[in-house]
Amino acid sequence: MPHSALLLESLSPDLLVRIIEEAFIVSITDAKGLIRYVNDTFCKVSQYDRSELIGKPHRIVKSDVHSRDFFKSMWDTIGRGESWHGEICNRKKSGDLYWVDSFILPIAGDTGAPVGYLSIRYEVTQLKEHEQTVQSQESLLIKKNRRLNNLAFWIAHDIRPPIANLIGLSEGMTDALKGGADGSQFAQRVSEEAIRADQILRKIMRTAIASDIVDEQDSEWLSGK
Amino acid sequence: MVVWQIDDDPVHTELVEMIIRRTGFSNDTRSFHSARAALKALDQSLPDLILLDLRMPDMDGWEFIELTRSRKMPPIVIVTSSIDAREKKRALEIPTVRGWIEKPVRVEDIVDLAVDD
Repeated sequence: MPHSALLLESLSPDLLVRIIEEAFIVSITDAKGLIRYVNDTFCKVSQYDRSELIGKPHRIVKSDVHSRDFFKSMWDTIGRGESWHGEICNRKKSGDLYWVDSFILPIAGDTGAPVGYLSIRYEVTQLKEHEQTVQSQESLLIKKNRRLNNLAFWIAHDIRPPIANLIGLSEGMTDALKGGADGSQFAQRVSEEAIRADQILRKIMRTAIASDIVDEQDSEWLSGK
Repeated sequence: MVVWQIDDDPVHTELVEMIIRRTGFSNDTRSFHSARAALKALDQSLPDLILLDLRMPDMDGWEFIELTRSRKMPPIVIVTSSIDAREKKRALEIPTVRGWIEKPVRVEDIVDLAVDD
């Protein structure tokens, strides 16, 4: 077999058509956008019978996800005889939405103006859903991270004063004891400030739990239960 | 040397008073636990030095400085638990602010004040 038989151009048109038919969602419309042809995959994905589609405007599967400008820009492109590529959200007969990555190719007539349009698409609904999940997780993470930053700032500001007092008091106590004086006045204060520091930390921890920075499971571990 | 402390934390002000007395820096110290009260007292008398906290409820240190800008004021030393370099820079750019002490206040900090004076 000559090597050229392994090039795409040398494959039989029948084979190429079969591949496209089986692997993709295909439709052909006339210049006005009325459906003239749909393949089985189109019917299966859109849940319409072929008889319900032929002769109908392609917008039968249109969802309200895209703006008027989106479709205008698409029609402007293919109306000029240029191909268009993009992701479209369509609606099944049941009302469920499905996303397709679409190529629309104008079919040029004798005058050069499009006499129809060939659309080849494949479904990307799962990819889209995954994308949306990732996006919402990302924005949730950003939000949580911001809360965490605020919490760190808050801890730094609120916990430093009693800690500073603890240092001051314990140094004062050390000096007093070194000088042979009674350090008990300091000892009482040290314990009071330690309790104050603990109360501030508890309040911070409660807020962290309430604002969903740490969940209950984590909080049990944090509080040593 | 008359020293005023403006700080809402009574444990802190008592500690600093002790240090001030021990170093002999001043034997006339007064503690205000609200900036508003100190502002009112300024109408009666003027200290030689003010030790001012920044974060206080009701009126904070920044507001106190702002409200006393047009008055004849003694030097102010910020005494804070803030460790924010930007805040420090901002404070030291104010003409009446002579210094910045991070809590806890140590004997050396008060000795340094006396030397600077």
